[in-house]
Amino acid sequence: MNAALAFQVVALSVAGISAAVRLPLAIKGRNPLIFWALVLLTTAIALGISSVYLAVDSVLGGMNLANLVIRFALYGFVLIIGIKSAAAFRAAGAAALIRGPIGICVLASVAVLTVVFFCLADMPVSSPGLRDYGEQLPVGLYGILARAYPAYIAACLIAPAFASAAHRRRPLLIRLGSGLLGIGLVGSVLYAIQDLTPLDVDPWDHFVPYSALTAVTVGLVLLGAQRTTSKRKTKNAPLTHTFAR
Amino acid sequence: MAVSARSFQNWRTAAAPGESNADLCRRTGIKRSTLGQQIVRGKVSEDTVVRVARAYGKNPVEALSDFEEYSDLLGGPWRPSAAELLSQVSYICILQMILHRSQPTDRQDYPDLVRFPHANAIRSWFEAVDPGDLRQRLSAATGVAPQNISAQLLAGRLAPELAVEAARLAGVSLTGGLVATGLITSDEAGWPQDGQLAALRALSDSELVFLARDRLDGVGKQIRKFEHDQENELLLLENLG
Repeated sequence: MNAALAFQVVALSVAGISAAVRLPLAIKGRNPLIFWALVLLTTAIALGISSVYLAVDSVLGGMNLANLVIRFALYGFVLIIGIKSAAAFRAAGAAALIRGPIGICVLASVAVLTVVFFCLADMPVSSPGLRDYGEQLPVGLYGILARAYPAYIAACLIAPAFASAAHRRRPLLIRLGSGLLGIGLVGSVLYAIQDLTPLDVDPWDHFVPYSALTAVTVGLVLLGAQRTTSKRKTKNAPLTHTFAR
Repeated sequence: MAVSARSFQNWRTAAAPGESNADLCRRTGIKRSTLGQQIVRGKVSEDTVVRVARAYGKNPVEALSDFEEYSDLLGGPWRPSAAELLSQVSYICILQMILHRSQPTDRQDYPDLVRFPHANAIRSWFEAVDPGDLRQRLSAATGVAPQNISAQLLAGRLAPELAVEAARLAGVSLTGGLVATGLITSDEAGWPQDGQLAALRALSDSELVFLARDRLDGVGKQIRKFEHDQENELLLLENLG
């Protein structure tokens, strides 16, 4: 097992387990959207593993349609997390950029262009990561888009996430969860620009995106844990806090 | 900050002769690792000194004054002013006094002051003794940044040496701040037994009412902040939890 595969397996396990943990809660009505987001993420990461990709793609016709599935699964994940985070952190500006008119335009354009570039490329044989077709212009643009949309959503939320983590009076799990979310978001932006650096990043170019996704997932796990524990704690009326030492 | 470990060791052999660290910890309830760390670091906290003093039958104020950093504790003014006494009364008791006075009986059962410890005691005390620029003067005298002082007060604490220095600067009883931070009791500081009650009774009706208004204002702001925090927390967890 080489380093790249190790990153993928770790990310996959974390995503899969957190989705599984959330399933019974989602059935009870607690935040089903986050569950679906994690399902999309697990799917995307799983398809990122070469052996899985080749197996699934051959079922889909062997023309790399599986890669398109990865793209849209990731867009879906990022969109859900983006909308939920903007609401959670009370970030009105981010919410407008993600789901307001601008956000919808960006999403629509990205979705359309992703499909267009995919169709313009000539990729008759299954190739994980579309590595064999890297020199084609549509494939290059397709790759840039694939990183750009998550980075766009992430960039809107970095400040609110870290602001939440810095908040001194909040419970520890919330601060850690928000902080990890923030780190994952930064990773997503870095991933989008890392190919612009002159450094040779292979295979560490797998490290950034997968650790970013893992950080986001673990952040969500911590926040979920806090929600579970604060349900169990009895709430004192605010007045009792003012004179109980 | 603390007293030097060497002075502490000298003092404790006089105050508690023949007692080992383990004995000390057993009598005071301090963890052995805590005491050990403080001695090793060379700085023993005032809380430790107070607890040892109490455990061996010594008055904590006298004990602290044996140390160089607090040598003027006994010699300085000790009688608390009315404002200091009142600052230690919780708003619940003030309201109870108002209720009591508004009833046409002359029953003697005054509010039970002991039952309501006052979460903002140190901040009220600070405001009561502050001639106007105490924060800045305290910062200049001790080198602690004004925002750190404010942060400590907001959290309901103040380092003992800051409390004593603040009292020195304000010209009030040196032990007042230590009582307000909860380090020592008002009895140990030599405060008159019913001092707080007497100060409360000495207020005219209008003074009492305005005192209540000021206190309730502070409490209201605190509660609003707390409610605001809870609301934000709930929103966050509902969306991402």
